[in-house]
Amino acid sequence: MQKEVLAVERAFNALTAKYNRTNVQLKLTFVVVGKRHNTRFFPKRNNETHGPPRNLNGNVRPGLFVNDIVTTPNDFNFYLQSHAAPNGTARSAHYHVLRDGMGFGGTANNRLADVTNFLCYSFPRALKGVSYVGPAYMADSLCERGRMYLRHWIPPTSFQLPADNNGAPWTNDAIQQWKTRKALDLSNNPDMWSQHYQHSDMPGSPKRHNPWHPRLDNTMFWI
Amino acid sequence: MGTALRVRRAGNPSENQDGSSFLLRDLVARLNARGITAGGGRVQSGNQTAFKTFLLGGIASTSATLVLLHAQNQDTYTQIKRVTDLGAHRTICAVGSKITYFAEAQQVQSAGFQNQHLDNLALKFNFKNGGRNHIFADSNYLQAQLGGQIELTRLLCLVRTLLTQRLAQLPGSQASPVSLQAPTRTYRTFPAQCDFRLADKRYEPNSNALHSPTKTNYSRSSRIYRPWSLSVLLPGSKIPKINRQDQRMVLYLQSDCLLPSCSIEMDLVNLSLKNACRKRFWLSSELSML
Repeated sequence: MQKEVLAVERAFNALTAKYNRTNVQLKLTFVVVGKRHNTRFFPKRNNETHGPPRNLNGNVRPGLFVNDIVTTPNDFNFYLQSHAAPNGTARSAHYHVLRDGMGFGGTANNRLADVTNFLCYSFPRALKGVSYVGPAYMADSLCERGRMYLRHWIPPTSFQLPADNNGAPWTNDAIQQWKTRKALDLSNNPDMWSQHYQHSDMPGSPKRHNPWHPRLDNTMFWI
Repeated sequence: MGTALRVRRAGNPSENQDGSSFLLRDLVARLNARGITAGGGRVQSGNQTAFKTFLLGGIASTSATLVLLHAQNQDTYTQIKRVTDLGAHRTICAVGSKITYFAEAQQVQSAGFQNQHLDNLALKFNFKNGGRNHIFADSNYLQAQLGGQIELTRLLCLVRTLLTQRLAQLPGSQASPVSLQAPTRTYRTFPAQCDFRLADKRYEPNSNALHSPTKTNYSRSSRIYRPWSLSVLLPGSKIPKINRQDQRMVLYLQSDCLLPSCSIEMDLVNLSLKNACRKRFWLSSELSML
């Protein structure tokens, strides 16, 4: 809430100011989704399980929506198991709404759960539902791709903290600043990150920090 | 779609031991039989210069490359992705042995078998080239939930296929037509000069991984219909009306956009229509190979 939501709001305000649409308000719903919890759900009867024929593996069928008892009271949060789990024990995704700018209005209704379930079934790489919302999946894939660019090219000691900070002690703030500066240096290094593409055809344009070729920009090549 | 080629690590045993050489030629031959130009080659990832040249050679006319890996290997995968992303080229990596298994399964035409692996591969090709794979049939409901400000019929849009000449005219569509090109050499002589040897390691079907359409197709609790195969619409046909009341999402693959030469009509006639399950399997797997 302190960093990401503020950044989204700042970017939105910059856009509205740029296009003289300051009367437009941002309706932002900010949801945190996690699967690393210890809550599991099981059906009571065999015919409610999901699995191949004659192989009832004890998982509930996709579409389970839990908004009571095991959720955090008085908060807008719920469990949603949107995927079919043919193997193992299914982990339901836990959605915790930190800001409800679009007015879904809590878990008394299932409006946000419905939308979430839709988004789980719109993951473009599969014909089935995935376990958490597709946009979060895609963002995860992009981050993973960023790590791959650096895997073999970054020197192993790049982020090793030097012993001396020009005589000053290494406080937490100093370490953070050093890391930020280091990351900026890295992103400006043509051998490591932004290799070829400096918008040479457009002189005076801002420097491009995305490492991939501009021709890939309008497609989700990282999926 | 993409170019079929193959990447092998250095120091692996002989070429045909895993059957992936056959797989490569088989895939290329299938594509060529469909009127799609395809070619394959192989390279060892140990040689950096050759690796880069091979991956990026002839990319001007190629939309995507299918890289068949000998085995799952993060090092190779990383190299491929860095080289090709920075070189403005889209790639999809797949483990060749898995496709080998599916190719064999397709030959025996096991009824009811769902070729999910290749389906997903085809979806990936489509999506990476700027396509959209899904549609909400019940977009009105979603529109009501989200406030009615978004044009939801375009949010998750119908019909983007592997070859997109027609679909590029759709509103909101930006992708260029997809084509297949051969970077190095083609195998047009299949099957005359093809030596086929079965894989040493058999990939037996895991019963847990198979999906039964009758059991898992429709979830009444979630009121969601999940398509388990790609529906084919013949040229000139209209999108069928969705009868199921609760059906919210459906995916189509339009064959007239998929195949310019369109030999699929003839193949449909040859199908045994008695076994609907087998028919769907056939469609699903055949289209995925394209």
